[in-house]
Amino acid sequence: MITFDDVGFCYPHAAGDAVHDINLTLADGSFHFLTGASGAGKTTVFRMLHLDLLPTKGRLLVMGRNVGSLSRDERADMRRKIGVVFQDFRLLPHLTVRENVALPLALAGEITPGQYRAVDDMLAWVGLGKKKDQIASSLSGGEMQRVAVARAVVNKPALLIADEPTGNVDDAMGKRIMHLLTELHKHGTTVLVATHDPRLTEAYPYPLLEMKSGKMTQRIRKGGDAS
Amino acid sequence: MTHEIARKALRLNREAGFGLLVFITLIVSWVMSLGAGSAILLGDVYHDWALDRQETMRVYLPPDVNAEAVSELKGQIDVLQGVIRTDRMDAAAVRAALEPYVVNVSAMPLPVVLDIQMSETLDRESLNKLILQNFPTAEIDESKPLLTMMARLVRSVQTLVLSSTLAMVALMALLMSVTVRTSLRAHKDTIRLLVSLGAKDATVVAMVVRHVATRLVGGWVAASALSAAMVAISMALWPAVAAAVSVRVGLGIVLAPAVMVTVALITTRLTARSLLEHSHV
Repeated sequence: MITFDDVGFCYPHAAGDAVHDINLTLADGSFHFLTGASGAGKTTVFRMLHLDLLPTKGRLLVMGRNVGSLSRDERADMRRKIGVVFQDFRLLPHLTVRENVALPLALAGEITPGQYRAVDDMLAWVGLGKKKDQIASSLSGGEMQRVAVARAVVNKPALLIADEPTGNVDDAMGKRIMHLLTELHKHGTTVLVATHDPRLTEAYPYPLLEMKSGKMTQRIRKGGDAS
Repeated sequence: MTHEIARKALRLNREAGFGLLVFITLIVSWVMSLGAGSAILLGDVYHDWALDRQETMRVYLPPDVNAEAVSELKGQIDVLQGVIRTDRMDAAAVRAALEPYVVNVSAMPLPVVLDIQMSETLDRESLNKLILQNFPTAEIDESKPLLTMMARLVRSVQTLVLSSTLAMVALMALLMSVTVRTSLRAHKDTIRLLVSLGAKDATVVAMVVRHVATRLVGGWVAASALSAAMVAISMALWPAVAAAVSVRVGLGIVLAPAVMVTVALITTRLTARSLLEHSHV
């Protein structure tokens, strides 16, 4: 499903490659953690996976398609099948919680009553059912993170990439979010979670992808479902 | 069709540039509609006046001319191709025509005046020759030089109005381009988020165009209504204006700003698409 074929990326005017020599295949329906120190290239990998950046070297295949050869419209179509949780949440502060979560559906066209119910169910799941009509700017950091998670999963994406999805929530909510991601994974969604939290990677024995100085290595652990 | 939530996401109405758009469109549309209406009105008035001038000619003969010779000339003129009729003006009409230009007109001997109605097929040179052969001292009121001068004047005014209109359209296009660029750059984080959530370029462009269109059309309608009200008041106050205003003038008043609105919308669409495609937002 996701194939990195000697992938590298160099930002304009940068001295060296942000990431380089990545050769890896992530199977459909797999679950991976992505770890690495700050500046190791995790964000660049994330941006390439949600087609915000295109590799400057090599070939990246997402859902079997070479992202470098896609038109802008084709990339938009593909992004609708990718859920993203940004580390900085990226909610629209003037929209309500419900509107933020429904935004990916709204961009695809009219929202059906069934989809609205799914939005409400998702908000109830992340514990924000009673705050769905509040504007996003009135939420706490943890609540914003939960809205960001709900928005990423509301359209049942084929691929979910999440940057520190439990970074700003308490343990109980962290477990709840991880449970949601695990459930999605069980239903066939490919999940990639970036985290610095060793407790999370210990609690869930999925394979680890480690970024170090722009290179990615895979570590398969006992009990994990390696691709 | 993009859902209302998506449109609400991109809050362009908070941009001061777009806020000014209604006001600017109103002013520019108003000036354009009045300019276009006036140019058409001037053209129509000139056309009617020129037709009138082209269709009549006056011949002034000395007061002491022989009446038989005048009748003979009248008969010769009447048979020329293109002459509809020739009338000898009566003394009262001549006096009335001269009164504004001559002091104590009743004390002077009145010239004999022939009023000739003609069509475009008349050979004016033959007519002039015929008159001067019979009466070498005759004065012929030839309207051609005046018509030529007036035509040039009217054309100059119309060219000025058209040039000003084109300049305003170009200025509006430039203004739109700058406003769209500035506003989209100010909203680049929102647009990037929308794009990362699956918005196509066409979706974002449609949202921007829709936003701009409502403001432009608002300004256009308000300006047309203002111009129409001014014309209606002028028609009520001055009967001459009422007689001159035609459907063409009304259409000019309404449709001239439509050109500007169309150009502004096309500029908006092209600018937004270009910015998105080149990832400047």
